[in-house]
Amino acid sequence: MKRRTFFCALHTLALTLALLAGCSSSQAAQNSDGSASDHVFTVACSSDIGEELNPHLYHSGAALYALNYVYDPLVMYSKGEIQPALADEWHVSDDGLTYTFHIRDNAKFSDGSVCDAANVVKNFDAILQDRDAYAWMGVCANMDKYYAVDEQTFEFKLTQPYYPALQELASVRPWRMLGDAGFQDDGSTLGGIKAPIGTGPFVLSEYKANEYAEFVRNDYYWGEAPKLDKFRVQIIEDGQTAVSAFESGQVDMLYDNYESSLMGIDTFKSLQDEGYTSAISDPVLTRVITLNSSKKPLDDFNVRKAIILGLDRATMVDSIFGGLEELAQSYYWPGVMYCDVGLKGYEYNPDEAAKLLDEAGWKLNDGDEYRTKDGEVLSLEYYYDAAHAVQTSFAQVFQADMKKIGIKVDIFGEESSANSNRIYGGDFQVGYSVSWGDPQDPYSTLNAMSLDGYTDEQFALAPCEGYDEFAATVQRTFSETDPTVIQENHDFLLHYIEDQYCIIPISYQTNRAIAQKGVTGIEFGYSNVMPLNTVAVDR
Amino acid sequence: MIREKKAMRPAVIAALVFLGVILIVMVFADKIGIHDPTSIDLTMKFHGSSREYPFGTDDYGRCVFCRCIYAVHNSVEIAFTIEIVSVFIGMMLGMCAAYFGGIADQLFGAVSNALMAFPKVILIMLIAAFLGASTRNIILAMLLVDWIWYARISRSLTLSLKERKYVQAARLNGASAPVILRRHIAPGILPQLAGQFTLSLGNVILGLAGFSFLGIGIQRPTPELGLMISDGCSLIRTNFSVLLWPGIILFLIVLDLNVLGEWVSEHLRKQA
Amino acid sequence: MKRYLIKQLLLILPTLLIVTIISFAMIRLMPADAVDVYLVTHHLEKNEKNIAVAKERFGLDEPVPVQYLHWLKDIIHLDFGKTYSTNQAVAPMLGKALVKTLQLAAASAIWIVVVTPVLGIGAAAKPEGAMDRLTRIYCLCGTAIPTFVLGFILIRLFSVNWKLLPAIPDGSAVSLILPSFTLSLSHIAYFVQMLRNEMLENRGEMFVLYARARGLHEKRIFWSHLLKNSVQPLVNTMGISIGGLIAGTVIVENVFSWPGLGRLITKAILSRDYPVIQGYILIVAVTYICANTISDLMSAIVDPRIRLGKGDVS
Repeated sequence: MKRRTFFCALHTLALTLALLAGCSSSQAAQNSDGSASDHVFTVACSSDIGEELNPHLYHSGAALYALNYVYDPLVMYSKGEIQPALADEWHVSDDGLTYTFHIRDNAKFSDGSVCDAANVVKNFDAILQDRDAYAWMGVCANMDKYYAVDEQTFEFKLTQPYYPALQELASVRPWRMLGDAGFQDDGSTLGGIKAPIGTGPFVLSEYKANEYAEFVRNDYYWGEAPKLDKFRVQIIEDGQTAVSAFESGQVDMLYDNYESSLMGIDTFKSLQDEGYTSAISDPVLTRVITLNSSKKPLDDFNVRKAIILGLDRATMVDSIFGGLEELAQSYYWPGVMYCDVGLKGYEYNPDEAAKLLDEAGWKLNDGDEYRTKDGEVLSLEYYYDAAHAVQTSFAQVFQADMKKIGIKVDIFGEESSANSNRIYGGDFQVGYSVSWGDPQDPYSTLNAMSLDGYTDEQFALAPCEGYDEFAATVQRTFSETDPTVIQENHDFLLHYIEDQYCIIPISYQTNRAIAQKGVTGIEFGYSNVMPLNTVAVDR
Repeated sequence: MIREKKAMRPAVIAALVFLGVILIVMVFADKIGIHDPTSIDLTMKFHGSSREYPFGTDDYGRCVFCRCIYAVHNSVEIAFTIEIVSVFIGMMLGMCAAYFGGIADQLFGAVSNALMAFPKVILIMLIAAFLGASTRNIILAMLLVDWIWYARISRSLTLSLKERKYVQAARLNGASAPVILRRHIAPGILPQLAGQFTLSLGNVILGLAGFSFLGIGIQRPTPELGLMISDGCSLIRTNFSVLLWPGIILFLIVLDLNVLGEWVSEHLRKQA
Repeated sequence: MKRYLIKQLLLILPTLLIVTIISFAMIRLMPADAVDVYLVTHHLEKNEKNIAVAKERFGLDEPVPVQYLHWLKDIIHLDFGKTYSTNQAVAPMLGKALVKTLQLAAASAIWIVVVTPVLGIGAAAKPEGAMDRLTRIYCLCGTAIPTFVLGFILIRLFSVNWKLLPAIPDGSAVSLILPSFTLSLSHIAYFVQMLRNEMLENRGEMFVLYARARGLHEKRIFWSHLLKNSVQPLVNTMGISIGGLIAGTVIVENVFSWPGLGRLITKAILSRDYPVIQGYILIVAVTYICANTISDLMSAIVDPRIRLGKGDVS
């Protein structure tokens, strides 16, 4: 009897647990049974799209790639050129103050409503409510007035010329258009949006926080219709798991950009060798190591120069990226607008580095591992984001190379937010950084370098001689209208950066994708775009 | 039961031999590992096993064999430090709480109950993350959590020991509390903690690996088994051997500590 | 029984209170200030105005005990505030993740409840037999592999090589198999060992001898006397084990991309998202305390000596 009672209890327990585990998944299981035959195209990504796809709010936590699918700007930027988007024609007045856009006739939102000049005005209203949050954007700061000329024509006037205005309008935030029905009743978006209604190629159809987001094709899309009728972004944070899920066929595409990095370089290459479809983008931004010249001993020009000459970047890039990324010789890829100014780059010359250090008073005594001056060891602190594989590699290689020329480098892997906290606070000697990529390079990054406390590059440059002139030139250039003057100014600015030996360009980052065999049409756009608009699956 | 004890022996002997070898390796780490475990040579990336590099090289061209040697040294040393200090703190607090009783004991009960309301891993993660991820902090965090077990065991043992005749006698003779605790109670507790100590050593080494995986463990470039394994996981498909060797070594160390710990505990149970 | 139940439930309250104080104090004592984190995650300049705004936002301009009371009031109303990083309400986020984690823990518990008796009884039925030896090896090895390595190996075998099970959650109950098995493996080892040892030890106990003297069949003795008496300590430990399971999800969820509490807290800790951490601490502590109380009650049902407060039960 007792035995039976005990086993009854045991089985009841097991059943209860099974029910608990099964109750919510049974419903989902039905779904998966139904869709087993038509598998949804799945892309793995390490960052969630965020609870709300608010195109205007800077702190909404929405992933840029998701915003990019759903919302369109007036104009797009690609390969150094402004491209039409919602506006099929635009015109800039000769004085550079008035911008006129003709909204394309077939621009419709995913709910079927029309995108016209009145809607654009409504969007600008909402964006400029949060003017302070976007103060660093020239269009925002210099906005004079904006209005609808007629149903299809939108115009704005600036208080002073701003040459990168069109490029800035192409940014993923905030200049993107939300459908009328998405706004709050008072016409604001600051407190959230009602629904993510956009004109983009895809519409968000289902979202489960930290699990996945599903997008379906927008039937009202004005451009060429995407070939995929539906895709899913699956959130996988661990790279190893993502690769396994890909190999098991659960995931159709892996994609690495600066927001999400799931494959190591070696994994990418081995998958490529196994015959999976692969694609590599043009360089999108530049990876750099910054030397903060406001901190000792980096305030000494010769020390900085020695560090750069002593860093074997060619070997570093070659062995870390194995040919997938190219050695960078300047802060901006020469293909970036105004940036092909013939910089000579830095060479690798450890002997010269040693000589410079000797001259600077940092002597290597017999039997010592590191150089000293007045009994003080030549040492640097390098802080990096430990969750980031490339940063980890950079730090370790930097440490090893510096040891060869007698500089002691202590490396500290930190968690992401602590690291960005430190970097934005300027509390570092050596750090990792990237340029911001399309469409912000070069104007936005230059602007940040000229403003107090915006980026680590600014901390690195600010104490250098001639910085005031550099900063003034950056600001002056913005209101130039003559392209030759703008180009001349960029010549000066970029040479100035190179001559300070503060920012060590390492490699031009590329974005990479691996997809199942039979997937075609992977084409890259901005640095943060997941290339799915043109992807097709051949069965 | 007797037959069982016999069957246990070969495993225990094997465990002791292996742990002995590990000890020797630890002591002579710098003699056996001829390469600098942290020196990076990118031109030597992913070399196969050779006489100079018995286990090959990793993604930074470092000798995996030498890294393993130093890693064993570091892992075991860190685990030992954590456990020894935990035992010390745990014993002190547990004994004092039980011996003095009253408010001290109640306070101890409240704190240890509240701390026990959190799973160990979570508590360590919280502390380590708030202090900032660094080698020192993860050790500190594990210390702050590990003592509780020892304290609880010590406390219950002290409660029964302090009623023993010889302790009562010592007290009547006017021996002071520290003397009684040190001379009469501590020697009675220590052997009882040995089993838990051995098992915990293995757990700490495993735990460190887990924290490395979560990114709050020992910091690079320190060679440490857990860190090597969690780094090696990203090479699982391309260069399995980089993960394999530290993996096997860690597995064997923990396994042998388990065998030994179980044996010690069983021994103690029988004595009691 | 009723009195025992009430006593146990009353005992929960002070522990809960201490837990809330700890989780409140923990956050306040941290070196990284909430305001700092807020300003950095929102890319706001560190000036007087912004600091004051942030302080007001978090109610940090009031005295600490008042802050605690406010916080406690919110907590009782299940308002855990909003995340720093994405400005979402914490409570629903934790709620959804908790369900997922409980699913995982429950599935693991099934593994434990099903596998433990099979291995444990099998091993104890014939000490030194093949089954016993195998079980032993499993118990020793099962606790010597880091969970994440085990997870990766299982994924590679079952998902990549044999394509039998999904590597990441696909919404079906099948995707629970791998993560829950990974999570339960070390627990099973622990329970099997315990069950086996208990049974072997109890073999020499008086009640077994009496039963034998009464001429009962060996099989009957084994199943109804020995097993029943050996299972009781396991029921006790199960309560503590629930906490272990929930803690174990931290690594398993990260390996299998399981959208539960473990993954949420890892992210929150790494980005210092205090409201999430606070909420998590409370949820875990409450779950843990409840599990312990339930296992206490279960033992009391099984063993009347406990609720009467008589006799030495250990």
